[in-house]
Amino acid sequence: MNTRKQNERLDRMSEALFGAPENIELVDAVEDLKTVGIEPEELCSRMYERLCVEAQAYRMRRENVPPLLKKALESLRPNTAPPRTQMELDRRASSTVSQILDAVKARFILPSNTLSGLTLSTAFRNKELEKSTKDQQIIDRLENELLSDLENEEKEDAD
Amino acid sequence: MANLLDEAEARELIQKLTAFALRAFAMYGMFGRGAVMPGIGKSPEDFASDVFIGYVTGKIRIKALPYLYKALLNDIRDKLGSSAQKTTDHYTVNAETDEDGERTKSLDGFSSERMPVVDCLCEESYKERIRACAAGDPHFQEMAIAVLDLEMTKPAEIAEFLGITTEEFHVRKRKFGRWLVKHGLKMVPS
Repeated sequence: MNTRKQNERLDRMSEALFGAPENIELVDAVEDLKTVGIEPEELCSRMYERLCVEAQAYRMRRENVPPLLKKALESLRPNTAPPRTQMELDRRASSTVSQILDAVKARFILPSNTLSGLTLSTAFRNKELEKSTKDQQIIDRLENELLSDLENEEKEDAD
Repeated sequence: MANLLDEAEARELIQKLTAFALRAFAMYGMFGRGAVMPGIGKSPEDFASDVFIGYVTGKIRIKALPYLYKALLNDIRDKLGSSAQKTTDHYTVNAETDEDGERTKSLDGFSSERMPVVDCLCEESYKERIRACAAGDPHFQEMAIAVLDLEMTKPAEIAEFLGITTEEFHVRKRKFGRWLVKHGLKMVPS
């Protein structure tokens, strides 16, 4: 069997056992990296540094930096690097404020399982349906008093 | 040329490429923290970085994302093949001794007596390594039997053989992928 065919067979077997490489979930990739002691953020920082060197080589040769290389550099630019434009500074500031707000808000949000355990006190629930006859008599008396006061005031005004 | 950086964020792509390089290394018996290819001296991270740089600088032209992983795997295989010629052993020269009477002098440049690196690429040794990795877990052992011995490759037929749904089989594949890297570490003497 030639090498190409053999590799194709191995690829089919690997795909059947572990799935297609392009379908690796990010969470699994991160776990794999951490298993062997690679910190994902540090990996990206090292990549950024290598891309900087590549871009510099283009500039030294007075050639245009390939657009994909520029794009990758922008994506990987670490937050610790100084902002290059006012827009970038604003965006970062806004993002930082949002993160702080989210962190503060998160401290006041009760977990859903705690809420589900809560029950409302029945002491005041459906209070209006529990009006006693005595309550109704008091309300009626106050209503009559109020009406008679109004009538008296009207008479006084007319005089 | 496809612009993969629109489909996948650069950060994510690098992490996934490096994780795949780790798995590819493990498939070829190169496990452990700081594993480097013998005779080449490159780590999985080096291979992944090279392919990523090749892509963003236009040296590697591909139509879609799967080809980038293919390019990475081919690079690892090619280098593994050429590393076979660069791996040598030291032979002690018994006749000569140094000033302290110790026989420390050696000859260099002889082909290694260990299993030739190129043999790592053959199907049988690949199967052996996967079986050894799967040995610690009955679920993965079953998968290895289905794929390596019964030569099943379609997810539906493997799932049926295992008596699980295709969704469950998908989850099991993910776990096996992670196991390969994790368990590989245990196979390396510390």
